[in-house]
Amino acid sequence: MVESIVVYGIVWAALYALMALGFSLIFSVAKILNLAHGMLIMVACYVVYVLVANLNFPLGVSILAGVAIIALLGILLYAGFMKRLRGSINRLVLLTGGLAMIMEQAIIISVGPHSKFVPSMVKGSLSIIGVEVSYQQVLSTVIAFILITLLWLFLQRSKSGRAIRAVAQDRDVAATLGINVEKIFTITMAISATLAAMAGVLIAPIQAVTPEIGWGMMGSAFAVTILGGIGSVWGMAIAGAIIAYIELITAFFISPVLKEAAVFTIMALTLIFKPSGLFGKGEV
Amino acid sequence: MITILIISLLLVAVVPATNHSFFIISLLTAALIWSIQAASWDLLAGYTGLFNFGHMLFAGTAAYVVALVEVNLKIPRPLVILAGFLAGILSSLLIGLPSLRVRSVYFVLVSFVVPLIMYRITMSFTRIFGGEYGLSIERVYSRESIYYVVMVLAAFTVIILRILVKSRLGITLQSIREDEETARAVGINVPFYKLLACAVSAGFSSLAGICYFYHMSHVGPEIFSIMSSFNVVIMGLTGGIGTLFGSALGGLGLSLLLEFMRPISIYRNITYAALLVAVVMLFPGGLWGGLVSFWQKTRVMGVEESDKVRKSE
Repeated sequence: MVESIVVYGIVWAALYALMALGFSLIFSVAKILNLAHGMLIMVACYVVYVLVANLNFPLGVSILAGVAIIALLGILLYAGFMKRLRGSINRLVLLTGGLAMIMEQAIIISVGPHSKFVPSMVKGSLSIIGVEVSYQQVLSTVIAFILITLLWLFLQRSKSGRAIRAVAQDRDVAATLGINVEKIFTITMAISATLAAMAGVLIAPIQAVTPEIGWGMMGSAFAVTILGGIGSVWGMAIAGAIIAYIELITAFFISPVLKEAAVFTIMALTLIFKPSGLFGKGEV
Repeated sequence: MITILIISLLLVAVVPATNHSFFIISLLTAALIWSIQAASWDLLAGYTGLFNFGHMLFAGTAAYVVALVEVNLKIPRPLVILAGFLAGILSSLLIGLPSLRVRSVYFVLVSFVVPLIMYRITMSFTRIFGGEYGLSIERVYSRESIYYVVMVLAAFTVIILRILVKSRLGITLQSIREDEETARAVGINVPFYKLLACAVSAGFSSLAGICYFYHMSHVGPEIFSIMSSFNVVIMGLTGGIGTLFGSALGGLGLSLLLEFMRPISIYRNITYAALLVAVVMLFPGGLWGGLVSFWQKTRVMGVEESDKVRKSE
């Protein structure tokens, strides 16, 4: 039904935008194409799962711990690995690809490859224009939108935010203005990982959690980033919406199997005809 | 050159030496196929600067096209192989075209996504592609004849690629790798050469993929899996980026390693991934690169001098 596409589209628009923002942030600031971003999202889901299901922590604590752990993991990966290769973007991509694979395999070996269930923060559902939506989906969507807005405010108004935008625009000039570029990189990586973690904890209760979803999310984050273009938070949100709706429409009217193919087609067309994205500022 | 000849002779000798051992011949056939994949990958990665995270798209497309024709139609075999070959080369456009107007680093992510789509499609449209069971046929060529073919193909690949990279084309590709902007500025048609490199790489990969199909008499969606393409990256990288022969050896060596790790196969992928990270961080030139530079330094300058050189780097 068309109504369910409209409603679910909003849910995934927000979540896709959230996933893409973390990825595009570290890319625009430090030119690091973090192939492991999708995996960070996935690992966040699993941290929550393990804490709740195996260690019996309360859900709220698990979620907070999940976010904190992934944020920390992101910083560690940056400081321990990515920082050392900062000159060479190609090698960085290979590195993050390898790290992503290690994370996926670590989860497969430790927790297992089968689908896991993460409980919802709120139970029950309601009806929006005739579509049954779970409270969790609504909550995830609302929180995602709040986070996107907070990120935008942070980047626009706060001193650190402006410093981050400065480094993204022109690293060397920012350095001459007294900005500690290295510190900005680390902060940005922390934010990127936190966003990934939050996306993870918001998505975990509303979708099947397996180790391989990390790759799919990586693909989605990349597609949204390409479509939206680097440099605009709200551009990314709109791109998230477009990708979400394309997926749902393709799945419903054509075939669920071709969802990714449809998204890829959009991405390919963007790369061919408008490589800087719909709302992108800056060079590609 | 001589090394290739020696290795070829050794490989030929394996057949009688192991008394036509089914296992050894299969093992080496697979290993040689991987080495062709790694070497053709290196053309794009080491020489053109385009790191292909979805290399098996080419081989997989070629294999599936051949499989589909073999299963469904009655067409003379040379035409079937040609069809697969062309299909594989065409599939390179899926990655090449979107990557033309953006920085080379985007190529990685685009190349990564396309095989995933193919994986999904071949997995899900079961009536056409056989789903997770893939497509199978009756054995067409004997294992031994495929072994010889693959051996020749591997040698052929390395030799032809070697000639290519030393030629004008090769130098053009390397200039694109070094500095795309400047290459464009001096009038090199960068998009054309990128597509050409993709096509050549895809060509060899496709041939290897077709051999794979006839060797196994089967092809399945796993050829498009992430790990499959990752394997190529790890082999090419560990062997040595920008040293075709090194990558080929990497392919050979790692796929043999794969076989030996079968008992602990649950740790296989993570070991590979850790190897990738280690090589990227510590040995950018790969093992072959490291070996070559060490050899060159000690030969030309004597050990003392090479120590000084190494310290100053």
